[in-house]
Amino acid sequence: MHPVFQTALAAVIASPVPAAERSGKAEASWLSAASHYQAGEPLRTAIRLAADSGWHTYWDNPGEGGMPTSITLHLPDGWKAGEIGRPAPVRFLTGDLPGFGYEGEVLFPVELTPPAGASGEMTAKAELSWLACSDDACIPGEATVELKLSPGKPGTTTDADRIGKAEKQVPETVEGVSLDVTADSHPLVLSVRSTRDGFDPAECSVFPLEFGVVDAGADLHFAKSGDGRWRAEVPASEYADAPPASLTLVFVPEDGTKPLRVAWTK
Amino acid sequence: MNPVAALAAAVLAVIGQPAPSFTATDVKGQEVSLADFKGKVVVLEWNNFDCPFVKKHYQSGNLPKLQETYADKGVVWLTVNSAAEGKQGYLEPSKMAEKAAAEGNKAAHYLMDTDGKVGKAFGAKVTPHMFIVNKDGALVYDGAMDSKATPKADDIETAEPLFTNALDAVLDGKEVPDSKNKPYGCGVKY
Repeated sequence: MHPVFQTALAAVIASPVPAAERSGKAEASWLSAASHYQAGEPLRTAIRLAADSGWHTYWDNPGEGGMPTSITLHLPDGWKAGEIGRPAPVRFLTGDLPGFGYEGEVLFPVELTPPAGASGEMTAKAELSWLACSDDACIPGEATVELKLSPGKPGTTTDADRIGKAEKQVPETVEGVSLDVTADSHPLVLSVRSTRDGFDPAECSVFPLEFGVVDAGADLHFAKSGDGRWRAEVPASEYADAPPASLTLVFVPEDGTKPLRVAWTK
Repeated sequence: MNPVAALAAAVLAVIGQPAPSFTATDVKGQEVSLADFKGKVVVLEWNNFDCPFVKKHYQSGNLPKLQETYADKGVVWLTVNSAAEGKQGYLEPSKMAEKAAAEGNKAAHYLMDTDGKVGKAFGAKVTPHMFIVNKDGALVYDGAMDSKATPKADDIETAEPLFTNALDAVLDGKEVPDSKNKPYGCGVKY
């Protein structure tokens, strides 16, 4: 047994250094918050994609140009994975093109659950495919990363903190916040109603989850209107050839609290 | 004004409207105007051989084959390079001519739009970004090569061929399906 594990169960356990796979202008690896797994007990992990300095990768809605990062998991029999979290992005311009994504490193949190009877060392694989761009060039990358874990009493690894931080950046859907879109107006009029304590859409960065509804390059700022709502006007995307039928916005509070995902359907 | 708004403000190309007129010089030094091809269907393909999405369609042979196939059907194919001097994808005209030949480009003309005027008039955003001008000089397609926005050549076969669907419709005198869609690729290096 590892001496650290033997003598200091409460101490943070150095993460086994996962093999980072490099491709193009980024490297990928798979991190775990726990040193070991326990049969039937959920386990917090995150897939890490780190673009080189000056390069970015893309969110689900990449904006104009770009390409969303795709992740496919291959788990041992009986293991289950939750949804792969996509942290809220930042805005950037690549040359003239407005985009959404991640500058440098991003962690995609994903919870794994071993089956009740799991035993022995397990190896999970994740296939990633991404596009990294700088102002000067775009270079695709592809990698398969592995997570290897043995059964045993789980200790907290040195990666647990940053996995926790990434989990807090994944938008969540909550009660008490709703979005309305006046779909037949130019520009589109968006309004938010909220009964959620401490949530102020005017103090948020806002991102459209779908491409082709609102203009990707538009400033998306909500202001409080007189009727207890928040309102924003935004040009429709040039690719919106019909009034939109649905729109999902991600609100990222400037105070660092968890982002919210708010959906509207006609 | 941010660069996006600046770009949008200059775009003259609207589906169903006359395509922006232009004159540009090709890699052989010949002046080419859109007006020269009145009565013919014209394709404009934005190009940067260093872009992985362009490589996808050249290294697989897809674009050279389309250029050849549609030339036989009377289509005038213009490949346009709007990279500014010093930016990725730019070469001086004589070297660009060699590069285009080595990549298998079979366009009627490879145009040097180094000042970006043609690209900005059409609103060319990425490479490859495809446009079709019909026999009457109207813009009838502004969009992607196909439906799979990846740099993988294997995806060409299974993708919906949005551009050739549109070009076939134009040649058959039919209404163009999906005449405006999101092009994919690398940003044009204006």
